[in-house]
Amino acid sequence: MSPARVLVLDPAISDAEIEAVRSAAGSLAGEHVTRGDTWAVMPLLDGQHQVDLDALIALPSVRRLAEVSAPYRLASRELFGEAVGIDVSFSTQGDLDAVGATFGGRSPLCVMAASRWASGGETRFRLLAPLLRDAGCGVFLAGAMTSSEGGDPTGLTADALGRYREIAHDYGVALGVEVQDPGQLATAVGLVDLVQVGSRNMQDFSLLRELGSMDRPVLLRRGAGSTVEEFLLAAEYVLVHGNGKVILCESGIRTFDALRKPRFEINAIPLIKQLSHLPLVADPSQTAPRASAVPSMAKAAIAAGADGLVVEVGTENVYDPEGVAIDIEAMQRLTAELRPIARAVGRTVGSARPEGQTAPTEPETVLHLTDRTLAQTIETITGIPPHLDVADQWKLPAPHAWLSPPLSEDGDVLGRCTGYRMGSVRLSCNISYVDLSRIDPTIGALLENTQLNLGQLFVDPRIEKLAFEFGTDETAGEIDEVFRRCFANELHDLYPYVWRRYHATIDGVVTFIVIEALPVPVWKRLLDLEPLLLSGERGDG
Amino acid sequence: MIPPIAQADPSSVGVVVAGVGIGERQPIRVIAGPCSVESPEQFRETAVAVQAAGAALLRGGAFKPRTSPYSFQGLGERGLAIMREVADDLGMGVVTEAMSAQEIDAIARYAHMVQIGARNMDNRPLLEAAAASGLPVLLKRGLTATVEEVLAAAELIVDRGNHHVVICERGSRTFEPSTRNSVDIAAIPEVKLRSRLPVLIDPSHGTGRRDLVTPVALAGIAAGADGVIVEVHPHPEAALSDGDQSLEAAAFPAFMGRVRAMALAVGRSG
Repeated sequence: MSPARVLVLDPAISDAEIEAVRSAAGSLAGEHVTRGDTWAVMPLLDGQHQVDLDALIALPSVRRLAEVSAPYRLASRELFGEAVGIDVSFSTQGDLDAVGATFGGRSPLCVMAASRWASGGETRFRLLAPLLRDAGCGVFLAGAMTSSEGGDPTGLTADALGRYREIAHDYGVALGVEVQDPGQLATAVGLVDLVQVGSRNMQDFSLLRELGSMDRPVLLRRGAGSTVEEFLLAAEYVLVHGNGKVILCESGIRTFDALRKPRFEINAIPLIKQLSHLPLVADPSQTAPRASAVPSMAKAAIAAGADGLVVEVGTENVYDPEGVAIDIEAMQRLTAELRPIARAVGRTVGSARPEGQTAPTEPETVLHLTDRTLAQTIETITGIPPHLDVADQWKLPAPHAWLSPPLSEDGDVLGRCTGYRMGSVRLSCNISYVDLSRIDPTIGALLENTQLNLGQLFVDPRIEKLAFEFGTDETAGEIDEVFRRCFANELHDLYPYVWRRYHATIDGVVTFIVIEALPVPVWKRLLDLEPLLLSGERGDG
Repeated sequence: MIPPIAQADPSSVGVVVAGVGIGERQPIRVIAGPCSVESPEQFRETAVAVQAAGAALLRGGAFKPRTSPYSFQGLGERGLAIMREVADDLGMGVVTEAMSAQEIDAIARYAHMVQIGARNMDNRPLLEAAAASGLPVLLKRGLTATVEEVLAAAELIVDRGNHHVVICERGSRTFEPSTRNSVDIAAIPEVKLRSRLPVLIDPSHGTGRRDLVTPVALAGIAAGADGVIVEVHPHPEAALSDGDQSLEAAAFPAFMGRVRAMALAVGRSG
C-alpha cells in the first residue's frame, strides 16, 4: 500500500488560506484541519485524482507534504520526525499569561495528580492544591462527571467542578475531568482544561469524534484489552476530527494474572514513544498491586521514557479499601527521587515555578553558561585548568554543502575532534569546524598543528557565540557518529551525554561551528564535588 | 498465602557467583553474552567485548529450549566447555541454562550459576537437582506464572538448603503482537517486598526487540532490580538464536553507560 499523504501547514494559517488549500487540493482535501499547539495539518484522501500536487505544495501556507506509512496517520511520529509537546493551560481572569503544564516534546516531565474524592472534596483540595503544585503536579484530575445530582456518588456535578476549577486555578494548577457521555462534553469543556477518556471508553468512537471537534487537550487512556495499534488508532479518531491535542496514557492491560490488576505495560512506553509524536504519560496507580509499589513503578515509567505520570494522591482511599493512593509526603518524595532518574535519561522534572538562578547543579545547566568557554567553566568548578586532547583532525576541501551556510561555500574547513580531561577522567568531547578562509592564516596554522585550541582563541572579545542548540546523545545524530569514530576506545565513559552546538563569529562573520558534549555521570559527580574525581582518580563504578 | 521465603541473614552479601555478589547491597550487576554458544570464536569475541565494557558475569546457552524442534538446539557439553575456557581466560563467572535434571552434573562441572528457564519453572525434578547441586540458581519466572508461583518455586530450592537463588523477571505473553513478551515491572517491587531474594530483569526476552532493550533495562533498575541479564552478539543478524533481541556487541558500551547512569540515579553504583 502506498503511504498516506498529509499536508503540513503553517500553524498560523487563516481561514481564507485554508479555503485556498482546499480548493487546490480538490477532491483530495481532507475534511478537517487538525491543530496542535505549534502545528497544523490537513490529511489528504487516498486514491488517484487529477490534482496538481506541486502547485498545492507551492502555496505559501503549505510547508511540506509528509508521507506516512503507519495506519494512524496523524498520530504517527513519521509526521514530524520528533516528539511534540502539548500545553494543558488556562488563563486566569485579567491575566493573559496562561499557566498550567506542558507534556511531551522536550519539555520537563510533568505529573497529573488524580483523586477519587468527588463532590464534597473541595475543602480538602484547597489545602492540598498548593502542596500538589509544589510537588510538581501541574494538572489535577478531579474524577468523573456525573449527569445528575445524587446519581453516582463518585461522580462530579457541574457545580462541584466549578468549585474545583476555582481552587485549582487559584493555585496555578490546571483541572481535568473524565467524561463518559458525549452529552456532557459541552459542559465539561466549559469548565475544565483537560478532558479524560477512561480505559473503558477508549473505543467509544462517538465520544472520540466529539472530542475531535473541541479545542481542549484530551487525556486518552489505553483500554485494558487494546493493542498499541488500537490505542493509537483511537487517538487518531480525535486527531482526524481536528483536535491535535491528545495526551496518551498507558494504564495497564489484562493478562492471565487475574488475581491482580491490569499489568502496567512497561514495554509499551518506549514502543509508543517510537511510534508517535504524541506525549505519553503513565498511570502506575491504576495498576499497582499496593500503594507502596507506586513509586517504583513511577520511576520505571520515567526511566522507560514516559513524558509524565498520573498518580493518585490522597490521604484516604474512600471508595476502595485496597486503594493505592499515596499521601502528599510520598508524592513529594517521589518527585525528588524522579529528578536524578529523569536526568539519567536526559530529561528534567517540571516545576510550576521556575527555579532560582544558582550555581550549576546539573550537566545541562553547565552547557547553558554560554558567556564563558567550557575550559573556563571547568576551571571555575574544579579550580584546575583541564587538559585538551586532540583525538583527530581532518581537512574538508570545498565544497562542503552541509556546512555552508553558515560557513563559506568556497573555503577549506578544518574539522577537529577534541576533548577535555582531568587526569584520566574524560570531561568533554568536542567537535569544531573552522572556516580557514575566514581566519588569519597564522592562527589557522597554529590550530592545524594543535599549538592553539579554540578555548584559548575564544577569549578574544571580538568573537561572539550565537545560535545555541542543546540536546542529549539520543538527539545527537551525526555528532554521535563522529564521537564513535574518534573516541572508540573510551565510548563506555561517554554515555549518556548532553551537548550544545553553536556558531562563533569574528566581527559578525560565522567562522566556527562548535559542538561540546559532557558525559552526564562524570559531571554529576563533578558537580557534587566528589573528592575521588577531583584527585584525578577513577571510581570503581 | 505462602509463608515468607526463609532467607539467610539480611546483612548478607546477597548471592555470590564466582566472587560477584548480586543483591541489594551490591552494585547493579550486568550479566551479558550470546543467547547460544555457537563457536569458540563467537563466544570469545562477545565475552571480551562485554567484559571490556563492564559486564560482571557471562551468559551463554549450551542446552537450548527452542520453540521449534527444527531450530538450533545448542552445542551441549561442547558449548559448556567453550564457555568455561573463555570464562577462565578472562577471570569471569558464567551462567547457563539446564533443561533437565540430568544436565545438572555437567553444568556444575563447567558453570558458576545454573539458570532454570521460564519453561522449566515448574519442573520439580530440575528444581530439586539444582537445589542439591549447591550452585547458585537463576530462577526465571515462568511464562504464565504469578508472583506467588515463582516465589513458591524459589521456596522449594531454598527449603532444600540452597539459599543462593536469584529471581528473574523476563515477561510473559499478552495479546500485544508487537513485542515478544510484556515485562511485569510491578513484579520487581512485589518480589522485593515479599522476599529477600535478589531480582534481575531480562529486557531481551522481556521485549524480544533490540530497540526496546535499553529503556526496559533502565526501567527495571529504576523499579529496584539488582541487575540485568542481557543478550549480546557480535553480529546479531547472523545469530543462530534470538538475533532480533540481541544487542550488537559494538552498542554494548553505550548500553552500559546508560545502566551506570541509571544505577547512580537510584543511589547504587553500576
